[in-house]
Order: sequence, then C-alpha cells, then structure tokens
Amino acid sequence: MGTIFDNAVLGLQVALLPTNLMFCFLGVFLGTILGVIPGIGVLVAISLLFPITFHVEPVAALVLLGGIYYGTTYGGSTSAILLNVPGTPSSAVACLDGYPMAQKGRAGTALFMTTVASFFGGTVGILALMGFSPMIAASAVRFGSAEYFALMVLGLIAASSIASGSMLKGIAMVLIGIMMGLVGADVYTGTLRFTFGHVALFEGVSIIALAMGIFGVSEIIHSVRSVKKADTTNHDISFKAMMPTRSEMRASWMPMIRGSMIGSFFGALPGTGGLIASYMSYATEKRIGKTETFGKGAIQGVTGPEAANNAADQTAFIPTLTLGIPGSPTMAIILGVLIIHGIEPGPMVVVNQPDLFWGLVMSFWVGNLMLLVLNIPMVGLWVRLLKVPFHLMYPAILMFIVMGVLTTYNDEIQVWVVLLTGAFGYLLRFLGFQAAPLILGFVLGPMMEEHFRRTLLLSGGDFTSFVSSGISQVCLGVSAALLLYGLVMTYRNRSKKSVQGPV
Amino acid sequence: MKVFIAALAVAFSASFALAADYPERTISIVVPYSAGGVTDAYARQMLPKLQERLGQTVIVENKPGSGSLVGAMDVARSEPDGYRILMTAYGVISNEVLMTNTPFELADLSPVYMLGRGSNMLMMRPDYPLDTIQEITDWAKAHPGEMKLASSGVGASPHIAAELWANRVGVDFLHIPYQGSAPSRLDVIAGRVDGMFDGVSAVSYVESGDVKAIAIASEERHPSLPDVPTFKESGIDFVFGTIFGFYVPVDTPQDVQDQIFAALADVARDPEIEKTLVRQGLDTTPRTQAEFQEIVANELAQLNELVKLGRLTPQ
Amino acid sequence: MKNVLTRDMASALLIFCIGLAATLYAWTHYKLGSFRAPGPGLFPVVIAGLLTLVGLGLTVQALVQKVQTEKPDFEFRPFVVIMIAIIAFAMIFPVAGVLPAVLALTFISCFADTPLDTKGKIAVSCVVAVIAVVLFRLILGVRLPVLTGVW
Repeated sequence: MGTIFDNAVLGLQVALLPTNLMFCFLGVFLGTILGVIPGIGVLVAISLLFPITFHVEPVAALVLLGGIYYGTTYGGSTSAILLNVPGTPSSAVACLDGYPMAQKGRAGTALFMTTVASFFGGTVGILALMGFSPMIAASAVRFGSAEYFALMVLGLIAASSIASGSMLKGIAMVLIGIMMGLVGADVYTGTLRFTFGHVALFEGVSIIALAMGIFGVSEIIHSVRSVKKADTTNHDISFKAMMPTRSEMRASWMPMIRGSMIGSFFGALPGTGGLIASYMSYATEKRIGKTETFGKGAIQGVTGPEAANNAADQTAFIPTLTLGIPGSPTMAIILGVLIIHGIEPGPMVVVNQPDLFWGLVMSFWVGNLMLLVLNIPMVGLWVRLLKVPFHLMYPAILMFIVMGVLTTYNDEIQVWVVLLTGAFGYLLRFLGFQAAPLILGFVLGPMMEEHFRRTLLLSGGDFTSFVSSGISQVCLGVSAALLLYGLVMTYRNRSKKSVQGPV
Repeated sequence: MKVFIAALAVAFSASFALAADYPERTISIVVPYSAGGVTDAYARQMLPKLQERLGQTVIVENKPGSGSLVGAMDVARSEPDGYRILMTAYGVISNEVLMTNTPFELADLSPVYMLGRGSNMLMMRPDYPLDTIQEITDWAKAHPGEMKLASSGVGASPHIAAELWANRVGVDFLHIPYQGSAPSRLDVIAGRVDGMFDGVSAVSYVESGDVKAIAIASEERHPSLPDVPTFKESGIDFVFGTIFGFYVPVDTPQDVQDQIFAALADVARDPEIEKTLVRQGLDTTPRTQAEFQEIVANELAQLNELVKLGRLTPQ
Repeated sequence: MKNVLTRDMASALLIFCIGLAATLYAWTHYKLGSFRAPGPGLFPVVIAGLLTLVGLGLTVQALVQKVQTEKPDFEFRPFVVIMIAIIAFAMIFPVAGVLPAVLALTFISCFADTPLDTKGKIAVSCVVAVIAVVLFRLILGVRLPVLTGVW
C-alpha cells in the first residue's frame, strides 16, 4: 500500500500546481455548463477546446480535457431532471425518475443528490483507477467477442426492463434501437444498409441527433401545453428544501455503492462505459428496491445510475492509459493529445510517465471536489430556472438542440435527422413507448452484431463458442432469468389490474 | 495521370484572377476524421507555421464520416479557389475502389502535397509458435484460409497491407475486421487472432512484449525496431503504408496549387514538425506534386488488381 | 365491445409492420451468408424477425387485456408547428446563415402554443437568436456563418 500512497503524493504535487489547478477548474466549469445545455455534448466541448492543448504541457492538456469530460456528466443530468431532456445521451436514465421528482417539486433534492452521488461514484472510480488499474486492465483483456456479446445481451435485457409498463414494449424499443443502430456501412464488408442512398446515413444515424430528436423534440411537443397547466409555483428553493429527507438519504446509500461498483466495472471495458453502466444500475435498483415508485420519482432511480455514470467516467481511463486502448471517441481524443506531445500511448505510459499518470489521476479527484463545491450552490440557480414560464423556455431549448447538433457534426443534414427522429419519437411516445431503452439498443446494437459475427467467424460457425467461458455463461444465464421474470411479472400485473380496474 | 492533365487544362483557362492575390482570406483545412485522430493531430501541428507562412488565418475543420467520404466530398464540391484543402490518410484512395456506389470520385480532387508515408508491420500474438516471415508464409501456404489476421477495418491500410502481402506470396488468410486499430490490437494481445498488420505506432506494444513484430513493409528497418527485418530483406518485394496527403478540388488553378504546395513543403520541413512525423514512423522523403499524383495512381492500379483477383470486393 | 383499434393495438401493429418490413427488406437486399461466414444480412434479419414476433406478442396482449393504458392526446398543433420550425431552420441555414435560421426557428415555434402576442414572439426570437450567436460564435468560437456573406 506504501507505493500507492507515494504515488498519490507524487500525483497531488503535480495536480496542485497552479497551472494544473487552473486548467482543472476551467475544464470542470466548462464541462458542467456545456453538459447542461442539451445538444452540446462532451465531444463538441472537447473538439472545440482541443486546439488549446497544443500550447500547454501534456499534463495540463489532459487535466483540462479530463475535466470537461467528467464535468459534462455532472451537468448532463441537470437538464434531464429539470426539463426531461438529457443534456448528454448518457444521462438519458436520469429522466426516468429525476423528472418526476422535479414535477413533484423535489427538483432541488434531485439535483443535490445527483451531485452527491456523482461525487461518490467519481471517487470510487478514482480509487479503482489508483488501486486496481493493472488488475482491471488484465481482466479487460479476458473479454473477447463472445464475452462482449453475452454482456450486451444482458445489458439490453436489463434496459428493456427499466421502462415502466409492459416488458414487451421495452423489448420492442430495444430492437428498434438496434435496427436504427445498424444503419450505415457494415463493419465486415462495407455494405451500406438501410441508407436508401443518403450519404448522411453512410456513417449511420448520429447518436446526438437521435437522442435530441427522440427526447428533446418530442418532449417539447408533448409539454408545450401540458407544462403550462401544471403548477410550477410550488418549487421551494430554500436550502432546507434542497436537502434530502432522512429516509431519502437512507434509500440512496446502497444504490450509490452498488452503482459505483457497476460503473467502475463497465467503465473499464472498452466500448461500453457510462451509458450501459447507468442502465444496469437502474435495472438493478428496480429489481432490488422494494418500492413501487420507480418511474414516478424514486430517489434510488436517480442516485444509483448517477453514481454508476460517474464511476465509469473515471475507470474509462484505465484501458486508455494502461493499454492505450480507447473505449470511446472521447478517449481516442485524449490519446491524440498524448501522441501530439510525443508520448506513445500504450502499456508503458504508467511506467515511463508516473508523474503524468498519477498527476492526472489526482487531478480527477481535485476536479470532482471542485464539481461538488461548484454544483451545490448552483442547484438553487437551476431550480429557479423552472420558474421561467415554459413558453419562454422551449424556443431556447429548441435552438440549443438544433444548434448543438449542427455544431457537433458541422453538417446541416443532421438537422433533418433531428426532425425525423423527433417526429418518430413523438409518435412512439404517444403510443406509450419509452425512449430510454431505444437509446441503449442503438448504442449497443452495432457492437453486438460485430461481436456476434466475429465470434462465429473466429470459431468457424460453432455456436457453442458463445457459452464457452464462465463470463458468457453467467451473463446469458442472468439474461434468460431476467427475461422470464419480466415477462411473468408483466402478465401478472396485467391480470391483477384487469381485476381492479373499472370495466 | 488523367487527374493531372485535367487539372492542367483547367488551370490554363481559369488562372487569371485568383492567383496573384492568394491567399486573401481564411483557409480551411478539412480533416475527414474526428478531432484528436492522428491525421487531425498532424494538421493542427502544422497550423501555426502554416499561418505564419501564408500570412492568413488557417483553421482545421473536422468533417468525419464514412471513412473519409464526407470530408472528401465536401472539399470536392467546394469552390476550386484553394481555400478549402483536404488533408486525409489512405481511406480516400481505397474508398474510390471499394465504395463505388457513392456520389464522389477521387478524380474530383487533385493531390497536391504528400506529407509522408507510413509503413505497416506484421505483428503476431505473443504466444504464436512461428517467428520468421518465411515460416509464417510456409505455414499459411500449407493451411489456406486458416491464419486469422485482424485489421482496423475493411479498406483501411492494414487490411490492404494484408491482402497485398497475401497476394504477393500467394496465400489465403481469414480476415477479421475490427472498428479501429485499438480493439484489433487488444485481440492480438489477448491471442484471439493470430496477428495483424499495423502501423509503426504499435511499436510500444512490441517493446513491452505484448505482441511480436515479424517484418516491416518499408524500404529500411525502423530505428525503434532495429531487430525487425524488412519484407525486402526476406526476399518479399513488399513496401506499403498509409499515405498522408493534401488534396484540393481538381479545378483549382495550377498556380494556386503551386502556392499551396510551396507553403506546405516549407512547413513540413520545419525541424520540429519533421521530428514528430519521423517519430511516428513516417517516411517524409520530399516528393513533387507530380510524384504524389503518380503514387496515388499506382495505389489505385494496385487496388484495382486486388479487386480483379477477387481479394477485395467493392460495394 | 369497445373500439378494436385501441392505442395499444395501434402500437402493436406499428411494431409488427416495422419488423416485417425490415425483415423483408434485409432478406432481399443483403447477403445472409452462412454461420461460418455471416453476411451483412444475417443480424438485421434476426433482429427484425424478433421485432416482428414482439409485434405479434403485443397484438395478443392488446386483444386479451381489458384495461387500456391511459395516454395523453395527440398534440397535433405543437407537433406540426415544431416540425415546420425545424424544417425552416434546415432550409434557411445553408442559404442565409445562423442568425436568420434561428430567428425563423424560434418565431415559428412560438406558434405551438403561447400567450404571447406578435410583439412578444418577435422579442423572444430576437433574444434567443442573440444567445445563439453569442454562445456559439463568440464564446465557443464555432465557425458557422452567422449571416452568409456578411459574418
């Protein structure tokens, strides 16, 4: 343990240098703000600030980009809770219970608790990064295509169970999400699928355009009239009202711990990360929680996934820094910074550049602390935003959505994509489908196909290779159990309701 | 060559106005990949020196999508005035052959300046029983379609490298494409595939012993890997790597193209920039515009031959 | 007996139709390949096939159940207005730039439902447009034309 302590001290010395502190603050501050604004995600923020990183030391550059990265995750849930529009796609889960909490006048508490949960999750993720990097990196190597496939099946089954109501509807959304994810060039042959000749679709439907259309635009259409009718004056924004009740605290504690562990695990696997972690955490809490209030403003549905999301943000650096394997486009940019500064990313970074590695890790913790301090006073400010009449808000939200998508892709065709996904999203919503499972299906679908086909390709078409390892057996077994349980419960609830309901 | 002649023809007819004043406003360098990728990094690194040299603001615009198709198409359709310059890697060439069903032709672009050429090396999983390229070739010949070679994607330079090598020595292998080089490297390290062709940027994995390098497809050995022989030393005439280059719309007046060439050539020879490129394993031998155009034409011919032999399937 | 085409039935049929259409499209357009060498059509056919089955399941569910899921009305006016607003943006931006496009977007979107009079609508549009220009152009430094040919 002595070495970890030494390393932490070394890291703190680097992280607390005035320049690094300044860049850290700049990063988390910009990250939070840009995270709150729907449409502008971490990718835009980082791409825009990327040029700055040429002129500063590599540590400062990474501290800045890292700060923006996990800062947006803190901010992303804010608009999800207040407006039911996720600021970033990965905060889609925060809509499920965060928005109902806000409608009940508990927005302050929800925001306060997400900040606490984010800090908690971030800290656990950093501890995992400090203590278990080599171990986690080694276990990431054990995940081959068959294991990834099984894990993704599990993630998608879990996602279809998180929506309230019929599990079949959840599965339908996941499957539609997968289909939308398959649009574009096939990884194996380059065959263009479901593009109908549109160049804009060659690369597939873009995630931000989809998330903004299906959540943002459809939410605006839905709320324009209904929000006005709702009473928005009952929002108490005093500090006391912001504090969670004792029972809320008690209910949040275990979800936060479980969420952090789930997040730390998924974050470290290249290609998965915060989005799937938050879904898994939500599904877990929904199974474990003995409350009927999920989907109607359960605090566990906010704190668990939020802790998972932020823990995953931190452990995502494990494969990036220790293996040189970036798990997401954002991580690839972070690797790009290393390359520009002449540091070859790969297994040698931790050994050759201890001050960079540990300085960065400790700066994450400093940054998380800053976010905690920065965000709690802001909660009052955000809640005040709810007092602005919705008819003044929605034109601005619409502008942020459209402009955000436009600046992310630098291509006005994506605005048309927002239009179509928005119309489709509203139709689904009208028909009683929830959009959250669709987003996860969209993200995991193409990866699932990739791993499905690679497993077959590598084994020469042998289906037993899907269950040849313990990891796959457990994942697929749990998936089957969840599916069965979910379908039985749907059936039972239906028959129970039909007895009680008016005829 | 056709590209070159077309460029010349148009240049004569349209060169009167713009050339003398070029550049008089902001120039965009369009990178068809996301910010932070290697290509983007090179472009941005050249930015300050390029601004100094041209006396104008130069910005990098990222237009990622469909390999490099979206960005390439954007430049091909822009005004041919030298204010939108494409900087791209190999994809723009292989897309021309592999993605036939697109509203873009490489002939709409004129190659102007070649920044450098990477080199691919064959690396195998750490526990692979064979060590020399000769043994591996013999084994692959005896077991057609059994050697599993990963790549960073269909049509990406590692895939093309593998097919070119296989074609040259007359073997068949099982191609396992990935999305990007990172996940494919991971499966080589973990031993789920036998090996892959990869850029020299994978040197650190060789140094750490996570993979073993067999042979490198360059003219000379790489300074960081003095023990890894070239294919040529082993009697296989095989040199291949991605090409980083700058392209403008084909109708751009030739004297504007000349000015762009001169500016880029000056900046690329800046010691600091050249150092970075060499460290990344690029061959930065200076080449004229005509030489660059010939290289592109040769690549196309080579790719078309692979298609004819059925080793590559256009979509 | 109530209306057969309930909302649940409509959603079940929608899923079924999407699934069936996608299955047939993928089946006829893309190579299925074999399990040894799966083609680009295999996975889409499997997923779309599953979707079709889920659509059938939902149909059965809709027929059997006695209680309808309660849902809000279709917000027809906001739907049409917001769609037109986005279309206006997408058409104006490439020709004229960010400023006119955002003005059109917000002004049209105000017609979805608002107690504001015309003056109020114009005021909201102007404020939002200024926010857009200041935030994206001046603070974030995004290189998009504010007013094509001018800035």
